[in-house]
Amino acid sequence: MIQGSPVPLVSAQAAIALVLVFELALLARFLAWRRDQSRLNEGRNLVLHALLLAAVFAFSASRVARTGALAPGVSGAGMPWESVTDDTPLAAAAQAGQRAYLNRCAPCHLPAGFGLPPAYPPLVGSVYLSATREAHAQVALWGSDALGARPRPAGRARMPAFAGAATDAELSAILTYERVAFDLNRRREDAGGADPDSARHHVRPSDVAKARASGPPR
Amino acid sequence: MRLVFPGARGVARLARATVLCAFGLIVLGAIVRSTGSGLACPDWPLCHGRLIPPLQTQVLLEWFHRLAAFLVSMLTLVLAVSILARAELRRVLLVRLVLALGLLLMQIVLGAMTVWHLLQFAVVTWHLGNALLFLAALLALAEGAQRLDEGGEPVRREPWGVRVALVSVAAATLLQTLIGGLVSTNHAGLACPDFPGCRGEMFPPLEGLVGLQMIHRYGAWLLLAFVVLVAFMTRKVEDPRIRAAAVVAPALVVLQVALGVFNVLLAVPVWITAAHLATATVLFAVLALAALRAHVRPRTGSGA
Repeated sequence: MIQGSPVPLVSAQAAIALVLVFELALLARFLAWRRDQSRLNEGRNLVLHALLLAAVFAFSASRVARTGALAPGVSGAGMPWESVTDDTPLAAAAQAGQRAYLNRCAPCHLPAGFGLPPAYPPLVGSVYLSATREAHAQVALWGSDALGARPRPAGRARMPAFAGAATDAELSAILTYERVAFDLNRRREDAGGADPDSARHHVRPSDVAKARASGPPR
Repeated sequence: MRLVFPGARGVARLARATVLCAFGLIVLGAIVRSTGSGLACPDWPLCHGRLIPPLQTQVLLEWFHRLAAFLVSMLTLVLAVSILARAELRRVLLVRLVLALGLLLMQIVLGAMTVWHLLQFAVVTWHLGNALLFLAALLALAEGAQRLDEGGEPVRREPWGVRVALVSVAAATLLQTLIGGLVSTNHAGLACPDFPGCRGEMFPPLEGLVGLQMIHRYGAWLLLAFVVLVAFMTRKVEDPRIRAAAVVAPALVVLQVALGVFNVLLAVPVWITAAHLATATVLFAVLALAALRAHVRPRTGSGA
């Protein structure tokens, strides 16, 4: 889950714990300020503590950011998408993916997948939903810049690469949810009584791993 | 059996303890929000129709938030009874007490409304804003009780400029915290995954979730400038607590900016989000306390 050494991560979390303790103490000290406590030294002490904490935290957090030990294992501890494997049934994977989608993708593509054109394209009806699973995963892994050949249309924002920020399991759950929820072709098939558990809609962690291993296109 | 009600010192201590518990409750609320546990108990006041809910992380977080809220409410009620029981406390603290109780009642209703309205962003953000106002009312109670305990009026009303500066910087902090609440409740935390610009653009158009995120960032820079200005304006103030608050505030804002930047770069982990709101709360509390102290007028006839 967490690539690289866990040491910076632990130190960043320790710094956060220190921040919380410091703030509780600060509040308590301000509240119980006695009348005879008239020197400003007290205030200067607190300033030094706060700045020191900011520095310690910024240092360890920047280490975390650089080593790529990013959020999912941390922010999503115990989140449903963490347990998604190749054997997770389509419905369960899509459900786990919905949560992850709302966290990661909905800020731009909106919860219902309609996007905010022209900056953020709609996912509903997107060609990538009926493209191969690898092609779909490539977009999420490497972002819009990796699509290379096609220049970005005017007013279109750049989609960030999620390769360093999300695990295979989380991405596969998200992609599965997108295919299940936003693919218009699937809706037509459903109406025609096609098997909803079709392989085309189910993106497994191994699919994402394969796309990740092959690297960005070209 | 005769009940013995605490004097000013006891009430001051109780009020302080209540403030610290309320602070913990606010941080717990941030954890509930950022783990997406707000609807883990889909009903209110019971959880899944039971007093003791099923043992699952998110359900427990939400349930524990309610339990802590219950404890803070009880503490506030005990505080109210002990203030009302003594004439000299009642006389001085009645207005602040009524404010605190009113805000507490509103906070409980808003908490229930977050569930009933399925975490609508306006309700959740209002729940946060009201929480901060309730904390400020508790702070005012603690401050008043302590002043009574010390038996005098050591503070004086500060000049007009200082008062306006302190009140407006506290209000600006509240506003910036509420914008931060909107960022969180709208899931706009990662609308811009980089810093200081947004997706490589230094000044993206202010629309949609990107706009919300960028407004929160611009607000942070403005607030940093504002607290530095206030620290400068209040350097000659007599009350040491106001001066200390004014010099601590810029340091807290620097800490807060560091937390905010890494909140974005690490993709809004729960532990940073909680610390980010905790810092905002302490900043607001310290500034609100300073603003209050600047307004206290020596009571005529008390020999001040």
